[in-house]
Amino acid sequence: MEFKDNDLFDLELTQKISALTAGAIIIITVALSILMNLGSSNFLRIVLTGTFTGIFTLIYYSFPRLYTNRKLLILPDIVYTVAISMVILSFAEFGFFYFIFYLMIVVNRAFTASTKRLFFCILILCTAVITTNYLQIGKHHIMDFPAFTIISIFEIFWIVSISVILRIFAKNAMDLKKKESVLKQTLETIQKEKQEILTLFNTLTDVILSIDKKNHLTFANNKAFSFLSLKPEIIGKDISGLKYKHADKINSLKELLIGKKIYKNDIKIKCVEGFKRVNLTVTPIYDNKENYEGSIVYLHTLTEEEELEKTKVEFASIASHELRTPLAVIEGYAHLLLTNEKVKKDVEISSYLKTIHATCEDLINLSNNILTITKLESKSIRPTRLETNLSEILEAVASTYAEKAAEKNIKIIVSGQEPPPINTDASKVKEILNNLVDNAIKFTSKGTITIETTKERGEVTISVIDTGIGIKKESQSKIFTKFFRAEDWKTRETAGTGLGLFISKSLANLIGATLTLQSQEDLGSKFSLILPITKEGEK
Amino acid sequence: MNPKIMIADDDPRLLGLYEATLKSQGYRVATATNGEEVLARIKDENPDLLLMDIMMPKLHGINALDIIKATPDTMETKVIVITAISDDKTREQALELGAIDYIVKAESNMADILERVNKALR
Repeated sequence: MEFKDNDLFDLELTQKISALTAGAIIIITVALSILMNLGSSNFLRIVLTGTFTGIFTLIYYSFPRLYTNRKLLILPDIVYTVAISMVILSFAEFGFFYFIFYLMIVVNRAFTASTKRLFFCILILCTAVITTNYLQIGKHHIMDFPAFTIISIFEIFWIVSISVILRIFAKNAMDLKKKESVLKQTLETIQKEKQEILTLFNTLTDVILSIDKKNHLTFANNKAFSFLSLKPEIIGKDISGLKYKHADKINSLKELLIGKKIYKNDIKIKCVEGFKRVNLTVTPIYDNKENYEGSIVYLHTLTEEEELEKTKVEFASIASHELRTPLAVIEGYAHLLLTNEKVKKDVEISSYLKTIHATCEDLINLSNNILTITKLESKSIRPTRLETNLSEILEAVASTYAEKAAEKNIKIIVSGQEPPPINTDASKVKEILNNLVDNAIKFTSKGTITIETTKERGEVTISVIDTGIGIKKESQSKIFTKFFRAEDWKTRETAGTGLGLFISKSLANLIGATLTLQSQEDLGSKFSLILPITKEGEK
Repeated sequence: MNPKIMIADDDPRLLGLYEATLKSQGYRVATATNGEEVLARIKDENPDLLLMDIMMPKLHGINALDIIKATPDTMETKVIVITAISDDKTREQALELGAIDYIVKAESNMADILERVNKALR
């Protein structure tokens, strides 16, 4: 790995430290040479060396453009090495001690220089060692050739080994520093992201609780504290005792924290003010070894609109329910009277009772329709999907309306292919077909009503074909809309609120089917319910 | 002897209506207003058909049905469930427990109900 000068250490800083060190050394050397009372030539040499080195140091280290120039970096190595060599030569037998300055250069460079520069520095120093020792052979008593060799080898060994060891140390230190800074950055990033997430959680208007596998609460967002009136001390405590109500039964959260699969339901959760309506979702969490680690509890608190929607459905439900029984009673007694022998003999009374009975049935239908529409619009109906015998449904529908059709001298015929069993919601299909046949009877004065089944790839089509008055082209596109009634309905005997086809269309959509119309005025209409055939298990 | 039908419904208005209608058709009628009463009197009355509501106080119709079909003395009794609950699951449940028919009140008028009662007793 290439060691760049300013990777770890500030180049400018280290160069400045080098400058200070160099300056100090020069001053000490000059001072020592004065104290040691050297010969005049040696003293002069030292003063000149010191002056030159001092000037160089001043100039070189005063201008950042000089001392941060990569090409000039080797210059101080050369200058100081030569300077120290001159000092060593001047101090003769005491010169050996100035070897320490060689080591100082190498120590500095081991930490601050690139590998190339360090190598050249070592090379320069070793050359200096050999040169200065060679120059001293014969000059004083310890310096002869064998001694020169030993001392040179000794000095070179120390220069090289210290630089290598320190270099390795410096590299390791740099690696550690790099890792440390990466970790620090990662930690900062994580903390920042965690903070962002927490802020996000705390701005939610829904409740989030994080519960560990021992059922202790590890996190609750701000809404949780306010909505459930939690005390701050509850963090870390067992929260599985939190109660909620579902279908009038009171359960505790503990049963849902067993972590098998995601649990979703509309419930009423216990708060200080009582039980409040929420959409509950409990999501279990697993580690990468599929062990249960805890659960996230999410409570969607209902907005005013949602509350209103729920209240609307509840109201429609209750109203419809309360209306049904009295209506059923009126219908039942009207029917009872109509079948009474004495009444049957009286034509006038019979006709009045017939009207009462028919009107009552209309009211019952209206009440049912209102409830159905309310449920459809608030999406409270979930269609079932079971294997259904369509033939049974067709027969039931035909027999339900047989009498009504017979009163108008209309025949109901069931024809077509045998439908295969399909997965769908039987009661919805029945409701749609009942409505279609009912309409067919209403708008047909003579002829037949055919309930025809055809089968094509992937779908079964049940068509209700009548020979009635048909539907005008302009009205055809609006026929399935709410409250739509064919023109001049007031003048016909056809009662109806215009909800039937709207409900049929909505129910068809709900169960994944299509409802279409083909019609010609005065000839008749054909309403087709197209049911897709899906295999078992398919959605 | 004309067939005897036992009717169970917690709403007295409906109970009165069913009683009057069935009697007009010539059936003998016994009435009960809750599940417990049904169980208490069914052995003595020994009806040919039991017409039972589901949402009743004291004992749920489905539970009563379960018990009736599990008791040897009464398990042969024909039972038609007549209820406001249109849920397919409840229908399945009732039929599986042994009811021979399941009538949803909102979907049937008196004529329909009579037809199914007659069919059951043929």
